[in-house]
Amino acid sequence: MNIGIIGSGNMGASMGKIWAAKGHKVLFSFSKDQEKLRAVAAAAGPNARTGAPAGAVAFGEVILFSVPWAAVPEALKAAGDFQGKTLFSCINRLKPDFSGLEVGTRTSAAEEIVNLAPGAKVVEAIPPMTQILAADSRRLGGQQISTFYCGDDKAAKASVASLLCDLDFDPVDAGSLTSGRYIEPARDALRSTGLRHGHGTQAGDEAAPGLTLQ
Amino acid sequence: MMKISILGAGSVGGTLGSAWARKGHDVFFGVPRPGDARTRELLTTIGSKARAGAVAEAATAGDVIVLATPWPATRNAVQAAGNLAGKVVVDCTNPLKEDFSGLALGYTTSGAEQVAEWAKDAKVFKAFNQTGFNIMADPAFDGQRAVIFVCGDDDTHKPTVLKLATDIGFEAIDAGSLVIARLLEPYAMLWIHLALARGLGRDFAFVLHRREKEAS
Repeated sequence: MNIGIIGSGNMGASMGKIWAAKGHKVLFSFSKDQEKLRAVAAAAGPNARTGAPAGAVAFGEVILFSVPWAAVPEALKAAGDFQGKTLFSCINRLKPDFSGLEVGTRTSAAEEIVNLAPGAKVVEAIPPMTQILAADSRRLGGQQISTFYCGDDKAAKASVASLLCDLDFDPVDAGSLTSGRYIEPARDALRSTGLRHGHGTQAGDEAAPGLTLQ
Repeated sequence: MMKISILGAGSVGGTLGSAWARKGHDVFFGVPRPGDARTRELLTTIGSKARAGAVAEAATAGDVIVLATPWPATRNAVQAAGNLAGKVVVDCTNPLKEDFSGLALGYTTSGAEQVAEWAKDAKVFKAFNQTGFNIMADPAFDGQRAVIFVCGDDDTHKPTVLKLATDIGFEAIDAGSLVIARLLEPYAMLWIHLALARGLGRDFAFVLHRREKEAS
């Protein structure tokens, strides 16, 4: 699959690298530091290249959207028209100081992104912490981590589910896009618990919590 | 051994009460009609470690007060309990809409914080709202334990509430202060939505995994 990545920080870089190793073609875009962007692509090998957000949209069958919430308007403006494209969003709308979520129960980041990216087939899936993504194995205790995904377009959801399988996660269909109202706080509960217990959330930190569905 | 008062003797309250009684705790169900057939049947099943009575009586009988009421009945139950100042209150409710289609409260507050306002000066914790009563009856999955997150502002009594969860077989995780209920209630809704709307049924649970620190 051709995958355009908008947002090449910890999350986008880690996922893109794994997909490139799985044989997908990956285009990394949207980084403040062009040098870093080139380094990310170089680390991901011959299946990876760099470009601009609009180029990522043109290139990808699926567009991974992995920018901080504050950068969403700028990233979408640079991306242009998503008409008919699958937009795989893994964005939690955290408050600027990371103390919690800014929207909820009556809406979600996923639903807000639909309004901001007209025509896109938005699927939300927020994978585990970046240090799980960055590790050699994405399993914990030999088990696959469950990743919940939701969206309103069946075919787009199937594409995203297969990409999650390629990351060695267990995709769990949580229903329509309104389930973003539950997925986002659930993921943030793990993030805040991880911080509280000193597990951190960055690559190289010692431990990360993940949920499995039993 | 603790004296545990449970407000509500439905699926959640009944299951938790049975599990704690088996562990040797004294359980008191505070319900509007202690003599009705359903409550009597529950007491017969549990045996000598459980009693039932009025809600106000339950509040004085327990070291720990567990709220296991449907959300619309919660305010009345807390008010009927009387003075809860200084009591440890474990809130297991979810502020669900009447048709279970979502949560009635959001990130600006939570059911738990609402309960803390009603139960003046009580030490309120959120727990046992995140999975089904059937999982509470048996939280073990192939040697792994389902996870329950606990949040609350009183660090002195938090170990007590965590132990009530491990007593009946959960992995109990301290998720922080009571405002974290704003995350744990929608997280509970994810379980409810998967179970009721997505066809997963009730017989699944979330298990928490952590990567062990690699030897350096």
